[in-house]
Amino acid sequence: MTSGSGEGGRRSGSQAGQATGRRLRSALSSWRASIRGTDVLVASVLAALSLGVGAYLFARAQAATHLAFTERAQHLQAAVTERLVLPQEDLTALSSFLEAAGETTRRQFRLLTHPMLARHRLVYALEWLPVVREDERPAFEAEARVAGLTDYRFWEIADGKPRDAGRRDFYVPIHYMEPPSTLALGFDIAADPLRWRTAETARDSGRIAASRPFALIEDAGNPDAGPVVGMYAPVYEGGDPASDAARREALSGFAMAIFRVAPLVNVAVAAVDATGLGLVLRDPDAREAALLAERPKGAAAMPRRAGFTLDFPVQFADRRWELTVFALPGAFLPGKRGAIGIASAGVLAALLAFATVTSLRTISRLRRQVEKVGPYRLVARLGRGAMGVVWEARHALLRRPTAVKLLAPGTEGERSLARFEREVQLTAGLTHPSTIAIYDYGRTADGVFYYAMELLNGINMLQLVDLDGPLPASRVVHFLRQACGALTEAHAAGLIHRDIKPANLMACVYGGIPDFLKVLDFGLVKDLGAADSVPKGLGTQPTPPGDAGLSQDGSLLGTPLYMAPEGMSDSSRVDSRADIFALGAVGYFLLTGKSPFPGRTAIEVFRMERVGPPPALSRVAAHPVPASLAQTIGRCLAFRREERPESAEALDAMLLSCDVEPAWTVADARAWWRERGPAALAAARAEREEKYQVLSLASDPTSRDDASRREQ
Amino acid sequence: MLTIDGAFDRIGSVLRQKGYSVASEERASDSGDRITIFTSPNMSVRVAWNGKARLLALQIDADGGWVDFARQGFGPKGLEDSAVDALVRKVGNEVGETSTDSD
Repeated sequence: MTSGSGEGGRRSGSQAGQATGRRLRSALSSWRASIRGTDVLVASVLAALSLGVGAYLFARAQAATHLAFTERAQHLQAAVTERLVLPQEDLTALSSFLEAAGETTRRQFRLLTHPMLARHRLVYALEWLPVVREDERPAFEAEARVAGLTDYRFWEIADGKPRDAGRRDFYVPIHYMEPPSTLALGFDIAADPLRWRTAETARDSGRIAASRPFALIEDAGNPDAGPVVGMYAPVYEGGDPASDAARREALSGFAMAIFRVAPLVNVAVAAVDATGLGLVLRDPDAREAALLAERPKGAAAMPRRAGFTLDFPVQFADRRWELTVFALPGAFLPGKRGAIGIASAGVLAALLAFATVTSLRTISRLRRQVEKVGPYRLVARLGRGAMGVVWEARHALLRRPTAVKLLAPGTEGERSLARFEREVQLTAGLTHPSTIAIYDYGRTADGVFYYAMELLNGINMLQLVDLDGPLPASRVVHFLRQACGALTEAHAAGLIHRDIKPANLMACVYGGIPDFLKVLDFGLVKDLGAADSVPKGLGTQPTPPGDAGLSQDGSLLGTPLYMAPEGMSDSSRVDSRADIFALGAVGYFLLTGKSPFPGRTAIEVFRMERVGPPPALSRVAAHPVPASLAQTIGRCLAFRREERPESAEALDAMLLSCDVEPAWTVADARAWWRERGPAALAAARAEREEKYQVLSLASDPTSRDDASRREQ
Repeated sequence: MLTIDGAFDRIGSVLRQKGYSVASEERASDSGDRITIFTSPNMSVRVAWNGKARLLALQIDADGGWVDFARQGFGPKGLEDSAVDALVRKVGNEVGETSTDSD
């Protein structure tokens, strides 16, 4: 079908891997060539913008979170402050009443404080602490006992133990107390320096004074009981005299309220939305029991996050407490997902857009490159080889079916180009009808080297044997003689094919002649005439370094299964007899369906060639093989080239003289092509399409089938 | 540039990949000659360095003796990497790898 050829199913995994690697490198190279500076700039700007938007959103989320924390903390602080005022209001009312009433009985005190305690259940107790002169002490103690407090007495604590209060000028006992506590009643605060200092502050200032936090006597042994705070409101005879000295003279006693701070704070917290907040309320002036309240338990020891801790001063009577509100661990975290999502999506979109735009440009560029090559319009990719890709094409004016071979992208080394160009020039000079015809060659606008050759519709020898099995001897001779004709001309021109193999010999119906053989792929042709002083025909002039049988990386070119031993061991020694050897190997293959020297590696093939003749054709051929033909092929396969037929022309003569009966006639060939041809061509096309994944670029009115019909 | 040992290592490595193993090794300390024979179930390969001729040869067993498969001469400067690699590839060439138009 085409001047390209194939070795179906004979590639190793490593070769496939190398081919894939080359394709990937080529694709990457083409893609990189399509990238413009503006693409990178735009993609970078888009990616940077996305990251910027993400960062902005994150900062906004962080600010919003901080604002929410601040607002919630302020509400909490306001609620706590408000709650702390309530006991002071009740105490103020109580002290005002006591001051206005002058003398107040125990019953009156109970009646007065009962509703206050009912209204403010967080107030632990309300008390009346009168200033009692020494001479009044018995009367006060008697009054209490009469009221039912049988053990009532003025008492104090000395050395940690309670005892009757010692004699002094005046006492300030807890005389009334609601609800009453026998553990506290009668205690003389004037004997307790700490409490008396607070009471003195209240007395001298005329305002409520609060004590430092302390533990109740009745809470002794209860570690869960929180500290309490006592508030002292001075009560003067005849009202506040408005001077320190007069206040001391006019003082009649203290109204006192005792309350626990923690429950009061809890109520304040419950009244607002304090979700995610922790708080600590402490009295900084207190040396011991400074912690008034905390929420949750253990909050005082919890870690604080920078920016999410607020300290508020809380004025309570004459004391200044500190309220610390902070974000609990895990609370008030700014939402990152949205920001990260937007940033990631933006960057991905930028990359995707970059990849899409550059890939589309690459595809467009490649299509522009390959759709039109010189005067040829490419129709479909037919295959590819080590040196190039083969396309079916149409000449713009002649409309002639043509195969165009392009140097494989990514392999445009100077050596490849030189070899490619040489292949074309040398092959174009050959005119034998069995040699593939070259129409012209050139370079595309992008510098891709190409040449155009005749498009054949046929089946190569490998496919033929795969399809029909070994051939009869007469047909083998028919094909080999045509190949000899092509090689005779090539050798005479100083050219050695070097890759004669079944896949490079194609049978077709050409010019109405069936079983017409075409020798393809002069890709490895060696130009003996190009070297200095090369004798025509059998020259053994060393090939210039790098131009011989090694590829750019030094790998062997050609197919070892059909390669002469000297081609494998020292390609510089190759001459025309290497093609004779290969043709004999092809003949052996056509007769038997097997390579004469099968091996896994070139070394193994070489050894088999060296060791000796292949299995006798008379034994392994599928059809009868005349002894003369077996002998001729055996001579071609001689290890020593001196023992082979000296030329293709000589081989042709030997083949002619073989007594192959009956001879392969035109009628035989025509019958074969009539009966087996369509199926053979279809199988060849199917194999090629499966193998090369034929890529159609454009429909063409003169399809390959039309061409095929015309050919036949 | 490679040393003789380096060249033998490279060639030996690819031979081992192909299923060969070292059967024997000879070194002549005075001349620098060195011969290593690799064997596989199918055949034997000999890698020989002739110090005097500065010639590295790959030989196979055939016809009761050793037949040159490939040889490479080296100058006094040493063993060029590329030339050694060419020998290595000759050893490694598989039948399916060397078709020109098969991929």
